[in-house]
Amino acid sequence: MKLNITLRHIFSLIFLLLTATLHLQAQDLAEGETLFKNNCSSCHRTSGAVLIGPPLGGAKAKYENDKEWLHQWVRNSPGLINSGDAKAVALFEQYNRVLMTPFPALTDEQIDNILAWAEEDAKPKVDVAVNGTTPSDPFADPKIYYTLLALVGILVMISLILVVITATLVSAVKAKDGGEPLTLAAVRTRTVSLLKNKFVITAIIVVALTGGTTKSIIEARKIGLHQGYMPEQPIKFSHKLHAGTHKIDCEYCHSGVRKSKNAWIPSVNVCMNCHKYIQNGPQYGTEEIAKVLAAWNEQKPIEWVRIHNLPDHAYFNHAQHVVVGGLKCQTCHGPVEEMEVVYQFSDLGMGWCIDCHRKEPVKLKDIDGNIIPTTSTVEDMGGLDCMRCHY
Amino acid sequence: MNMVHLKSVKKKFKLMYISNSYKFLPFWVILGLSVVWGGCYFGYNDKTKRNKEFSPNMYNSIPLEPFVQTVEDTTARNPIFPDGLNAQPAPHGTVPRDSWYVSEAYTPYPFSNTNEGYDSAGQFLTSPLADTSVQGINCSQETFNRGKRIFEVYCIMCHGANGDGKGNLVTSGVFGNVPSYKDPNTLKFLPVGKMFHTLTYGKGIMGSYASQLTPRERWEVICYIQHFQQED
Repeated sequence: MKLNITLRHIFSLIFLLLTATLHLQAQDLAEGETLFKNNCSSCHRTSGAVLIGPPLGGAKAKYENDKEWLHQWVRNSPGLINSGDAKAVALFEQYNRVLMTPFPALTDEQIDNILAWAEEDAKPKVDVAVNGTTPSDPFADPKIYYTLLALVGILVMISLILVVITATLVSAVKAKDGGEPLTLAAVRTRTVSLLKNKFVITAIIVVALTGGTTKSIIEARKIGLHQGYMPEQPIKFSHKLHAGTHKIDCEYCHSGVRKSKNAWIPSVNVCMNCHKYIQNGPQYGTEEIAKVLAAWNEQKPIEWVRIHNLPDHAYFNHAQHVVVGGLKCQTCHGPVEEMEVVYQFSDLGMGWCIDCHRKEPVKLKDIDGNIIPTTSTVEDMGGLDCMRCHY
Repeated sequence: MNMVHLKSVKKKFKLMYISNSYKFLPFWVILGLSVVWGGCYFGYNDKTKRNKEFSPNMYNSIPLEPFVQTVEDTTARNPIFPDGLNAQPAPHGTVPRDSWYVSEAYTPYPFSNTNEGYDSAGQFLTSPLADTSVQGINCSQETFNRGKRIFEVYCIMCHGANGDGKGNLVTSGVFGNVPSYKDPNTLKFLPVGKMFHTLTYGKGIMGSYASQLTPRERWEVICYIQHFQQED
């Protein structure tokens, strides 16, 4: 009995101790994670490629016997380099002579926590599979069209069967009443006679001609207008993600919009302002961003496909419309921040230009930048002159 | 006379084209089919391709335009440049012709992209827009407003509307930590020269903004950032 109790006591004690240590460890890691995210993450990853400094995942193992030096380095690396410490200078040279910000406030324990968490985080994780469950457009998958086709086929089959059944029933009833049974030959004669009817022929011709002409005229009016043009781009860049979710201003990338005739397509260095750091996207993983990185490493421009393109005989200036006219990008380009793939929203035809120049009142600003309401339009200021755009 | 003439013409027309003989039937059929086919032809629109154009040689520039590489033929190359592109980077060392302050037109930027350059920029560089006569801010109100607009376009996603480093990209976890302009340990006492140096070359994970902002715009946004440093 006594032994029993002691054993139980011992077990519960061991259990308590175990949970306590586990808990302690978890807390340390949590502290390390917070500290890492707040202090280190702008220059270090935990694993993978060098960001500004080396990944911290392997640091704990590497400096196992040299902790004192590492703590010193974290708290005051410039001092260590200036004092001529060989190891510090070598490290400084290795990573492109970029000084690490000193963190004098971190304690030994905190630094160890950070490194412990980094090591933990660097371990290859069991991927909870974003791959299999990526939300995607079901209509992008060609299989769905085969399914639809099969459904339509089944419907046609059913209606055919129904027709056959009805025909059989009708002929059966007729036979019962003593009348002539409905034969295929009779149906054929009737159809032929209907098709030979002059009225029917005229009606068919009139409908086809009017319909065809209307369609022709409607479509011919769109010649030279590219509304809805949605080409495939070399990189699946999502405006919905960048401008919509992350609320990056249009002008951040299209910086020329207030300075120049063109709004500018960003060069790769603008992409790299963020993608030096972000190399794993939410939709396509590393696949699409890798193309940007490749372009950057090879110093090769990305050849985007131009969508909005006015004919050469019409002049348009972005700066004039955005700075002086005070127009929003969305007025002409539509809700780009909601577009996964960008398409041409307006038809950019001359009628469309003229329409706006006739209707929209001019925004006048007083000396303090307040907008004075006016009823004048661009038309009143000569905005409809031919030579305003065609020269 | 005229009426009679018209009548005779009508009769002639009827005789010629709508007579009972089916002599002109093929003509009508072809006309009708071509109209219908035309509608279908123009109506067919592959949205990944550009629409039909009536006179492509008036639409597409014959001279080379920097922002139009190819319109009709996506494989067309510019024969003049070795990489075949119309858009070319400016030759190394190019200075803007209409630079706003004269010294810049002759000396692009005196400091190199090194730690020493960073330190000397902080030591020697001062804002040419500085105007201490204005109350509260270090430049004219107009410059300040322009700087605010630039900040809200280029900086706000990371550095935050209040300059505390809690921008949209940071709070949503896309970016790591971004230092606050109000934190005495990091950026509160950062000299303007170092800011300009950082905007020009980039620092840490912040990239260079030299291609997006002219030197004048960089100084304008620095003026706006200074008011964060002076707060609290």
